[in-house]
Amino acid sequence: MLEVRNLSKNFTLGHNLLARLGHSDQIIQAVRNVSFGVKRGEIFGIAGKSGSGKTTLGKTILRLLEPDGGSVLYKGSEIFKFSPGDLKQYRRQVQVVFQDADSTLNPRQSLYSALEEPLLIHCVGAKKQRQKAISKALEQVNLPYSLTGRYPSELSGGQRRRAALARALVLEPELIIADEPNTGLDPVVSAQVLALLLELNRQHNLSLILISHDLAAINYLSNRVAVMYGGKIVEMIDGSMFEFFSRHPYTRFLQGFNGDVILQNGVCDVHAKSRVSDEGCVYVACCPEARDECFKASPELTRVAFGHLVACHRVHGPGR
Amino acid sequence: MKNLLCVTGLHVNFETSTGAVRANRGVNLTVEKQERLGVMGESGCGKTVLMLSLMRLQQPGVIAKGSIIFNGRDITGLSENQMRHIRGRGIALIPQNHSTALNPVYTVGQQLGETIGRRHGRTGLWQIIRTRQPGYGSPAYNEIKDLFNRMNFGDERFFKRLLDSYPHELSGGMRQRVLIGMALLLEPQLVIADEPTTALDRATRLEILELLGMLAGKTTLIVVSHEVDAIKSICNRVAVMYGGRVVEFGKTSAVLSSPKHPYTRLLLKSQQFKRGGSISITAGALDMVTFPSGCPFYPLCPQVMPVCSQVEPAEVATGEGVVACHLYHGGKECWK
Ligand SMILES: Nc1ncnc2c1ncn2[C@@H]1O[C@H](COP(=O)(O)OP(=O)(O)OP(=O)(O)O)[C@@H](O)[C@H]1O
Ligand SMILES: Nc1ncnc2c1ncn2[C@@H]1O[C@H](COP(=O)(O)OP(=O)(O)OP(=O)(O)O)[C@@H](O)[C@H]1O
Ligand code: SF4
Ligand SMILES: [Mg+2]
Ligand SMILES: [Mg+2]
Repeated sequence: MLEVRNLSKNFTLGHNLLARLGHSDQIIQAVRNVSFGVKRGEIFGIAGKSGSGKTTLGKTILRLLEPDGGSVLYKGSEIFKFSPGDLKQYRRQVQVVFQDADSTLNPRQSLYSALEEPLLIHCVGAKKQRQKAISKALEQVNLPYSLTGRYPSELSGGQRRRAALARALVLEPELIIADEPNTGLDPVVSAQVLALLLELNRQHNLSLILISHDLAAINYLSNRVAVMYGGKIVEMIDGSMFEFFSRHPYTRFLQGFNGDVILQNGVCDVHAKSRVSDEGCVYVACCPEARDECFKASPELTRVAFGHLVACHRVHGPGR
Repeated sequence: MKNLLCVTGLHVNFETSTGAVRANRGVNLTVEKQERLGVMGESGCGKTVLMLSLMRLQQPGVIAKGSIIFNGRDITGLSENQMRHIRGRGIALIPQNHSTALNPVYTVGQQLGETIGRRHGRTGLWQIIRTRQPGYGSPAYNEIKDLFNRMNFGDERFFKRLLDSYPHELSGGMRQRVLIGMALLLEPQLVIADEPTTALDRATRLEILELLGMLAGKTTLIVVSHEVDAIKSICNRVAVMYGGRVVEFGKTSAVLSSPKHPYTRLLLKSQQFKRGGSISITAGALDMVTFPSGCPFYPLCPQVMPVCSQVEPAEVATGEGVVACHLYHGGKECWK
């Protein structure tokens, strides 16, 4: 349904910043050569480090950012070549829930008009039907209808998050890119939001790209999981295998198998320690199992088992 | 005087077109000196409003009833001017939405410099004039550098880049740490962190928890969080809120291992949902304008009794803690 091929996105830091200090490395490679596919009715989970490019990837797929390389195919056609009409259609079928709910909701728009806006843009239904769609979406995220008159500043953090989710649901899209849909929610509501996504997936064949730091959520929902680090996918694995059969050292760190790394190495911030370098593995500065070759060559994302890809020299063994 | 903060019967209301939102309805809370208090609770139950009220920043909300005694002084009646002395050096807040908390038109360095200025009592016009980035090697620069070193915030070169950055150029985790740094620069007596670890990856989360843990013994800390393990690792006491009130309050170990209030139980249970599991309750749907009569939790409560829909339970002491639920009234205030 959606296919991402060798997608790359760089940010050039402003002239005011590094240029002033005379630094040469002014380019942040936020997404580097990422490829994956999402089938219809599939839940594709993306986990990864803060700043590893997950949000940027999501925005590029929606064509909110122009890529520096690669392509995204939606139902077989290239989205970066869409005509304005096609693009509008695309943005109806593919919805996004931004990580930053505060920037999605217009502070001067009441909750009702925020939810009505996408329906109006896409000319959906008469007033009655719109109202019905809105109350259904609100009910799905457990927000009482009586909140519709309020402005974003009059809602709590978690209520705003759910409002942003309702806004994505209201058009009944085919694919949702959900960037951290359950953060900032208490455990009960968070579990319900995840259960809702799963139900939509099962009953309406909704496809979902789920970006989250919450491994339990990823584990709970995903059919396939990709783990990102430094703009690259370092591991891609079947959802049911994720918990016990992952092999990349970073994935295993995330899962807490080698929690002592953090004590040994202190902080592993890609920004701080190793600006993402073109040489060697992206994870080399923090990897407890790094060897010589890891500093020299970047490991390729290679198949190690059915439906399981890993980019790590250690996993591929010597001689690769 | 052991208590740094003592909140009694706090009511905070917001007037809206659809009726008054009663965000806090009689909150009782005490925080001892050097204590680390965790606050959990349902989405929209009034945690942020309570934290803002402690700094009298709850506008447009109104403190309708109750008192907030900080350092032996009731701050609900203080003037804006007097409050300005308490905000910052007395109580510092690390706000919930870090994306809008930093000023987008100033660099991080300028904002940190301003924070130091504020600690020296420079406010108002002086603050605006002084919004200049601390120069390399100046006392302010060194102070910030020392702090950020202790916070493990990267090497010198990274630090310089950070000071020159505008907030939108940082990732969420970085902004979060800058805000914590700002609060620490003020050297306050009480630090309030409203969801400091939301949306961070595991390494960054551990780092921030460690950082907050570092504060232990130096200042008093209130942490609002939905992450039970975060609360478990930092806090010695915990308050659970529901429907604008504190429904359970006690030692972290006691509350987390043997929760008393049915909501706390539900919360802890939902923590451990599994692949393939499901949840049927619809929580988080209170609009805080109209409440069910009686206990606000009764429509969802698995242990509901006839009395629950009629009378709102008062807080009762159970061992070392407090719980507001009819199950624990031992028939004393119970309608038979
Ligand atoms: N507009 C921008 N200008 C410059 N750099 C940017 C911009 N947006 C993002 N970046 C940089 O790109 C990198 C990836 O950012 P991104 O927001 O995609 O990370 P993320 O994986 O979503 O992280 P998080 O989990 O913290 O949300 C970061 O290093 C960030 O600093
Ligand atoms: N300015 C306002 N006007 C009207 N109602 C408000 C306002 N601010 C907050 N509220 C309401 O007060 C209640 C408590 O909000 P608060 O932000 O304290 O929730 P919270 O416990 O922090 O929730 P979360 O975990 O989602 O952040 C919510 O129901 C919210 O809708
Ligand atoms: S008072 Fe009644 S309804 Fe409320 S939590 Fe206790 S048992 Fe449940
Ligand atoms: Mg992101
Ligand atoms: Mg809040």
